[in-house]
Amino acid sequence: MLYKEWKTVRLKFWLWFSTYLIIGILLVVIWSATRNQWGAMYYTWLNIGVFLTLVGGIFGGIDLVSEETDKGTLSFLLTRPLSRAYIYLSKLLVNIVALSIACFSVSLVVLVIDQHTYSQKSLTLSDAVALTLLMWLVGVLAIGVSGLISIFTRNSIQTLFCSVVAILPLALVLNLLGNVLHSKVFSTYIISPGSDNTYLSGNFESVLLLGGLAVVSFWVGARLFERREF
Amino acid sequence: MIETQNENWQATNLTPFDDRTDANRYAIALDGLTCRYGSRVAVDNLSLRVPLGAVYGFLGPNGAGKTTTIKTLLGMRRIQIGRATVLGFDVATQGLECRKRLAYVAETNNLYGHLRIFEMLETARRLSSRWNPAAVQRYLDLFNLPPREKIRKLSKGMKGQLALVVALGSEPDLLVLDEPTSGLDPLKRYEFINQIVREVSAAGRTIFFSSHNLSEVEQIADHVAIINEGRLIIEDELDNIKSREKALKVSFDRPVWTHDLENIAGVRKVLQEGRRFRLLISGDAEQVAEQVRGLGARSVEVVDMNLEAIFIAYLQGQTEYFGNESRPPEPER
Repeated sequence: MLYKEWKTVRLKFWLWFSTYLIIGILLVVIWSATRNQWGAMYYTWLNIGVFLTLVGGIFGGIDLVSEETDKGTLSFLLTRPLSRAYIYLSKLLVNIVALSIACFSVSLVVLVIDQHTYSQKSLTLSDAVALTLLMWLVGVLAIGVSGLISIFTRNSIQTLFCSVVAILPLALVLNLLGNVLHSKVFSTYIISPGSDNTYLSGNFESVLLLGGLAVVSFWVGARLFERREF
Repeated sequence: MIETQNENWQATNLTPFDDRTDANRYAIALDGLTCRYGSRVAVDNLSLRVPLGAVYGFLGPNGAGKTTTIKTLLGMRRIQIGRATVLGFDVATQGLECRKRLAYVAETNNLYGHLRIFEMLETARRLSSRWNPAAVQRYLDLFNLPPREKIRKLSKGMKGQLALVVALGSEPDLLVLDEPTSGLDPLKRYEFINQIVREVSAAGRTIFFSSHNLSEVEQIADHVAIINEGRLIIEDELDNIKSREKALKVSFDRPVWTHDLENIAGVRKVLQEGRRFRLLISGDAEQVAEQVRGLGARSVEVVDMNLEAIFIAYLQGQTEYFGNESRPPEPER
């Protein structure tokens, strides 16, 4: 299952990786030319990365099931001796791993440059790791939500439309909830320090919330995929 | 629910499937299977028995419920009412066990176009409980399928052949085929029928297939079921059906009322063509012929009906094709 999914996802992986890489290179090049005029580099990378990862996550989930429904290939998987939950979660896993490799590898390069090249470091290492984790969770949740929607749609375009429609109110709710919890979630304010002026404590609830929602979206998706008739 | 199921049992002629005695006799057993799409009934109280080792033709017009039945057997659709067992395993509760032992070739191509042939076969190998690489290589050679070719670049016929190779590679006890030869050219169809089906059935495996190509079904099937609007019309061994279903070509020198012929026992349908009649007979054709002669018929001829004629006669109550003729008879002048 993982073999087949990797063969399917590898093109997406290279697209993700090249997009992150191009944006990362552009950031470093522009940064070196402007000499810290725009503030801290990794901080800027995270702000861009949140939206890249959100779009990447939606892109990762939109064809999770709907493309196979559209092309008629789903019957190949459903007639194998595999449980439906295994099929769905394998698909999710491969997409998440591919997005994670692309996201973390380029982020690591940018972080290393940020930490070693410039005298004015944008973030401490622990804050950088915490915020990168938050950025990644945004993508994981996006994969979970759009993957769940793709169970019921007939093609990727429908899923894209429905995912955007679903994620916008979800982002609003999360942001309101985040404000209630004194944490900024899912917006450009995502990278904000907590009361003790560290980013880790300021976004701890956000990590829990996004991670919890992602797990719930996987579970609900697997259950719905088991029940869906094709 | 229980009451509905009991009503369904009563409505069928088959006794309910008994796990202890019937598991070794039937590859597929359906008891009162009913499937609905919303308010529309796609399969209506369908009961079937597919004997182990049979080549079983599952026939019906478009929208008859064939694909829905097959999807239910494969676990792609839930069983709403009734029961289905495959190779002795309950489809609703032992789906994994069923799918370990069966393979499916879909009506629409269900292969991954972005993969190469060898990648598709590797995928199938990894996802199958059994795999026979020697048999796969033999089928690849037979169909001249280049392993490194991308699937999307293959012709429709070659994709159909690859789907068969993927299905046969897992050495299934039950091979379920939905329109298996659609898109194949006559030569490949011949190879499919004469080599693949014979080989699979010779190995004692069961083939359950739906097809619109009735001459093909007649060539390879030993059992046949015809369904229409989700209901079973007829199910039997093909030889029994053909021996039972006859037609009479009858002509008279004088005018005859159609209902006089319809009232003869054993006559299912009377078709008038000018002053000639064609009578669809179910039962003893000679006995019916005697009675027709008693009405003063000038000529009475008993002819065999091929499967296509039987199919049309059952579904529409009329037939254009009789005997072994491959074309409709010329109108009398």
